[in-house]
Amino acid sequence: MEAVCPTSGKGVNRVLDSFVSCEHGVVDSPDQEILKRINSVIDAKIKVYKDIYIPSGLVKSDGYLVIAVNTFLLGPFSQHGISGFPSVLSAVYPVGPGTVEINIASGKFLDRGLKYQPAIFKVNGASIRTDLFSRDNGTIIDAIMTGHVHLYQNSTERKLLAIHNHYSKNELKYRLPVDCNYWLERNNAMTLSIKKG
Amino acid sequence: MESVCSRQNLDLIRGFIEVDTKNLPDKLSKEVCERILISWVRFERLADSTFVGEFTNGSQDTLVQRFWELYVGNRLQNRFKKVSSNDSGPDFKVEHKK
Repeated sequence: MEAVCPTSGKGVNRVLDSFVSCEHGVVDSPDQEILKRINSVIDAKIKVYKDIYIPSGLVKSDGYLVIAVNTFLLGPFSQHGISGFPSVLSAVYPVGPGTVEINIASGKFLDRGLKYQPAIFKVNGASIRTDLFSRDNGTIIDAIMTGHVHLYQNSTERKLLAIHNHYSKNELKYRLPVDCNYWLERNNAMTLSIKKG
Repeated sequence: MESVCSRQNLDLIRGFIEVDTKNLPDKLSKEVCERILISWVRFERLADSTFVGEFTNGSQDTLVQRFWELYVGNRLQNRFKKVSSNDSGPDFKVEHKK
């Protein structure tokens, strides 16, 4: 189990201080910057786990890996992503913002869903994959626990969520100490959907 | 010796929280302090050697980071019997029979 708490970062891809401290009244959500920061800390932990912990015998190669990510330092937008799911979920599954399908001719509403978003982009144009769980490196993670936690909140304000890895090499045989779980479930041969419970 | 260290750590954390919450109403400040100290006592055996220094160094980033460790560690201890931690390696190890 690794506990990480991404900061707003430095350089052009950082989450601007004004978003973290909420100086503006109405602004666009810096969701791309937030995903970059979350993605970066998870990637760093995978690297340490694969390059140091397993080769040195600090952990067993057939053990479980759960990473706990606190989004508090990324500001208030980081708790819920623009997909309507926790931000961390959009860093590990290719789930983008909500979409609405409308018949242009009639103007009638047809359907709603979520945009497939397998990557986001840095300011320099380089892409960052957001389907981390299904990538070779990502299958080493069994689940991510996430919360938006500060020490001066009272205990009822603190919620822990778990996002389970559908593509994990192991299957978690025990329950995590969380208040809510998210997982993928197969609808049919072609589609998966996100379940909450 | 261990109890002396524990006392020192407890006093360091109490002193820091009292200063950090000085702008909160008195009652709330005391509640926050008490809550954190109770959590700390439960967590202390899992804390690595740099924990208290980083918790009390005045940086809000490291304060939130260290508290997250404490919070996750205590949630794990509530759920699992065997939770351990070392300075080297992952933050926590959980042994659980399948």
